[in-house]
Amino acid sequence: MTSARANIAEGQPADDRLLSVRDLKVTFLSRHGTAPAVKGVDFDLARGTVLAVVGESGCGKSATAMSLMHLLPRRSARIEGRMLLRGRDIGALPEREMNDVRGKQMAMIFQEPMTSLNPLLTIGYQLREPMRYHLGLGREATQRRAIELLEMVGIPAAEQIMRGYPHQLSGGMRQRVMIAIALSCDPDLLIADEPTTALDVTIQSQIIELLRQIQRRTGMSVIIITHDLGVVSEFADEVIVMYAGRIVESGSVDEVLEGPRHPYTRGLLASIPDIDDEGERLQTIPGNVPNPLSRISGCSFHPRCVRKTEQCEQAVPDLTAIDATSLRQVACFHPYLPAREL
Amino acid sequence: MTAAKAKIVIGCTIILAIVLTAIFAPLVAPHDPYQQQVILRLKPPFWMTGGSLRFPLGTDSYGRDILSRLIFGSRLSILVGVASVVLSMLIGTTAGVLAGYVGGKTEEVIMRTVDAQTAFPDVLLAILFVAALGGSFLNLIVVLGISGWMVYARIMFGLTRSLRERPFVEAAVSFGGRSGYIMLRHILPQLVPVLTVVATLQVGQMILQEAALSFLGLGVPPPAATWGNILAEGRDRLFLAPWIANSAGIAIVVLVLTINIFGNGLREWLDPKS
Repeated sequence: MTSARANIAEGQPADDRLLSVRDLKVTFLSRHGTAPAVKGVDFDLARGTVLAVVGESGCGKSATAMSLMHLLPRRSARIEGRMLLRGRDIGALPEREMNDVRGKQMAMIFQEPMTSLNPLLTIGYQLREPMRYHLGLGREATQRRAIELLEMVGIPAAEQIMRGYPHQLSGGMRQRVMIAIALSCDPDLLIADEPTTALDVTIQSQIIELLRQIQRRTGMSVIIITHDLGVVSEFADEVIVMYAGRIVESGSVDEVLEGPRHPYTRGLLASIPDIDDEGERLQTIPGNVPNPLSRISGCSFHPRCVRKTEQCEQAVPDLTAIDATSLRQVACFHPYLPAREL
Repeated sequence: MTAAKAKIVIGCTIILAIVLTAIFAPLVAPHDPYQQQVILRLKPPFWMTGGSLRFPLGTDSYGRDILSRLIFGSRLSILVGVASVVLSMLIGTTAGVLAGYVGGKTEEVIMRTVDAQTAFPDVLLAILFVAALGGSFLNLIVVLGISGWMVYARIMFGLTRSLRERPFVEAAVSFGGRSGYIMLRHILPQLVPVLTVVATLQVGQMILQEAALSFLGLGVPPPAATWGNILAEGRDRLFLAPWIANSAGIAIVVLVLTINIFGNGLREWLDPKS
């Protein structure tokens, strides 16, 4: 974690960037009008870095990830902006070429391990198919590699499991299989969309630990979408906090979690129950994430913000660097002071 | 659950009996269905006065044994029913899955064709076809197959659209699966239960359609023994010799009803909610 932090402080050379997202906008077209889900998001991801994207439900986290993978239905979602993966704009790629990117250069694991595997196909088939397609491996090679992968993700009796069907596995085991499939073609980037949300708490930490070990071993980059700040602090190097389709704060995990500058980030952190605060009422952020169909003037967070002023109701704050020494950015007119000054 | 199983067992038994009779028609039928014996014309069935067990269901106006004609006629009815269902299922499922998965212009073209053809009367289409190509066994299958594909297209379109959003399909796409692979490997197998039920029920419908077309003289031309032809021949003698039309009518009703009972049983049995 410290090395990654040093990386940020020094600033990365351009060729170290695996992924560059510039002014990404996702708009859902519905019968009731257009709903902007992501309203201009910029971020960079260096090789070997783990980036966490946090925020409440409906903040545009998943929409960002799904648009990277071209998984949003074209007829109901408009995607604008540039998404450079190793310098190539994958946003503009036709589906045919995108198939070679998906699974091979970047892979994704999903929120619902219970339903992410096809119930009618064996685990083995589903595990081997991407390798056969992307790597052109034969039967024996895929078999061998599949067993290795299953062992790597901590599944015992791999050969037997491969002959079985998804319903024979628990949720945690299925998520392990999904991770194995995602890793099968050595992607440069793994996108994990709330990979532990649907799992038991004990299984959650096992899966995160597994992801962390694999990430260290392979050196791939990871974008992990979560609303569990525990996951962020355990696993990620950098964090992006999203609210209503915009990035409101970003920086290294230590900096953001230890000294949140944006009122929203602060609210999120304050909402975590503390085991020592016995009997105290849990803090929440009043109100809800605004409906994407409604238009809010100024800063999207102002209706829920404790520090709002007239300015917040009129203008949208830009995401700006606030420290000369780090890549820390905040989009707020009245950010909190750095932690050490509090 | 038990009701569903009972329907399947009853339906299966009767269908099997009819199919076996059709397959072994030359062995089962007491007479040659095409042998005309003018002296023995219009003999009533055995339970009516003047009838005998020699012609259990009586004879028609040419003195042909009706039971034998029914038995041989079942071959054609079943064959046409099954073959046209296979044909329309192939066309309809391909169209429906493509429309549902690809969407956009493909969907518009396919589904609007479905709408257009649904609005077009089947019989008119059949008349057009037969007028252009002539009535024959093969043409009958083609006509029925082409007039019935919309049912499958509609149902498979809807199912595919909802399947496309299912997490495992999305996951397969995210691992780089091509459209053809996704449709064939991930979507089609999920459609099989529904397809089985619809196809079973459609076999009954197609048999009915075949009878209707033959009755109108648009099927396999006489003297071929088909249920529709027997029905048509009996029409002229309805008051004098009602057993001719009745026997074919009852045969059609029994077979279609049995297929429907079987199909409904299958649907209930395959329904995860029951």
